[in-house]
Amino acid sequence: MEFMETNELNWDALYAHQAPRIYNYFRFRLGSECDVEELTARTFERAWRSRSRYRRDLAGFSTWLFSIAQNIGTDHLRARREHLPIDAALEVRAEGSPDQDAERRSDLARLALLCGGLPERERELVALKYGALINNRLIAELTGLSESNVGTILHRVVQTLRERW
Amino acid sequence: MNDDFLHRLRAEPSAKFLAALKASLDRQAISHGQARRTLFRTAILATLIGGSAVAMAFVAWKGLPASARFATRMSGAQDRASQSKIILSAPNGGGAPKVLTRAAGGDAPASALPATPVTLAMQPAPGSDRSRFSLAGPKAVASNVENVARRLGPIGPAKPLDITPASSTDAIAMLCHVHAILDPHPGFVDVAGASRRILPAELESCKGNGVTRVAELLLGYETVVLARSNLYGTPKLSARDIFLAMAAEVPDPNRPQSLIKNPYRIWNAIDGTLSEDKIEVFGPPPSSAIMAAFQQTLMEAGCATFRSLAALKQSDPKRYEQVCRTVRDDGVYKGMVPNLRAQLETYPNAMALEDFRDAGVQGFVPAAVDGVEPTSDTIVAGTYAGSRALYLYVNIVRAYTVPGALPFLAAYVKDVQEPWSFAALVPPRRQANAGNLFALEEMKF
Repeated sequence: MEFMETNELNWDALYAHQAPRIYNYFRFRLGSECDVEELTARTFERAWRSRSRYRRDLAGFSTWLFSIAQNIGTDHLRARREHLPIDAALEVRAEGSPDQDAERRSDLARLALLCGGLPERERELVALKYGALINNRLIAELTGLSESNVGTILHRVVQTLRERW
Repeated sequence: MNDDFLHRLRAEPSAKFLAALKASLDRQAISHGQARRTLFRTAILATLIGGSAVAMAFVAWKGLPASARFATRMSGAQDRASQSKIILSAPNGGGAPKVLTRAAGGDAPASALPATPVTLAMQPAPGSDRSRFSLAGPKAVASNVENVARRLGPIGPAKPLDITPASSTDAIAMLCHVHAILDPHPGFVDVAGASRRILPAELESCKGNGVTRVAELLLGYETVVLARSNLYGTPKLSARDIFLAMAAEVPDPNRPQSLIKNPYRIWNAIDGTLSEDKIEVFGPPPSSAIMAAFQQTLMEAGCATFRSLAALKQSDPKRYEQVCRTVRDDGVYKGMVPNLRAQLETYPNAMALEDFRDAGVQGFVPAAVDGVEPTSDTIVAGTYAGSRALYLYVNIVRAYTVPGALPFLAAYVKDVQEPWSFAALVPPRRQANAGNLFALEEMKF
């Protein structure tokens, strides 16, 4: 992907590349499709409004954009507060569905239940890693953890989730 | 770490949502930009209005209605630009046909074709017993000629075109056959279409058979592109990448001399610098003209980058065509879908095989191939690999005996230059056919 045109950022290409990642970040973060489009739009609108203030020498574009998304996500979750205890996840049965979308939504709901019992920071790591598809180094930058710490925590969280899946 | 179950949870946002948000962001950007540009635009507008007023006043002062003077000038300019260069003289005393240039504003010679379609009527040659205009050629040539003929309607050939599908080689052979000199037998033609220039050996064959008066017309450039949605920027590929992504058989990476069924499913398996996206191409059916052009341009260009495959062209032409032109049928290449635009907007990796002009109309972004983006300039210059020139070779003696044949050809050459042309070709430079309309013996290779 080419995001640079001479010294200018190619905003169209950035949008094309980042929109699905931001969208999935919120899906994973919220555990549902509800409000995901709204939050994605809000993130980009805020980023586009302040694009003249973006300084490449201070941060990579992804870091900058996901910082905005994190703030928006955090504000939204604070307003919502509807976490479930991890025990509730045990009641979610795996069930197949012929409709792939429905199945994916059901899996997402299951993930939300499973993640509901995890600390906030770990839920955030899962959303950044698997929703936004960003690497551990960038996650480390965004969360203030060390890169190895990110890897260790993610490994443990994924093991836990897989056992209960 | 087995985390597939998490990867599977990802979903693509809807194309509708992405497009709506992008439009909203663009409007936001435009509204910021507009404020800065308003002053500049106002100044430009004032200059234009002022300039126009001065010009109108000048014309009125000269004593002619402005519209009449403007129309006169435009008409003369168009004639000079596009028509005067394609007029053929009637063969006179056995001499070679000549390209005549009509003096600006003057009358055309009595023997020349009139310059505008309105006056294209031509009397049948005395003694002519056949008014059917026969043409053979590849599908691309035939379909373009048919489309234009349909649009030209009454000013086209007097009788419907008699079109025979044929390869370039066969079409030229049908034109140059000894039976095609004056009154072709069925199966021999007045005009041959070709997706390449006539070869010196074919030229000799024509001469040997007595078909010596042949003119060459450059119809335009058939151009294919691999394009994706304009949401995702310009893809950058090489012809080799395209061949490896699309061919049914490719060289085995471990033993390049042997061929294997195409194993590539991901772009960066072909080249590590490409994206880690699934290869997915939508396009027309294998029998289409676009596919034929794709196979003979981009596919072959990529195929020829493998020395062992390029050598097949001489040693085993059939095998060469089979390897270099056969598109995979394992699901990576798919037929056109009903809402192609939405598909491409939804899937950033998805590409469409399209005609260059159609891709532009639909707002798709064509891939640059080997660093060359398809534009009118790169296509005409021959630097874009996905393009090929189409030619017509005309038996001049026959064409003069078929009413409407030469007027049609003249009108075709003009039509292809127009933005509304039904010919799906990139037009040649306006001067191209003035330079190329040689009699056979004058042609240079």
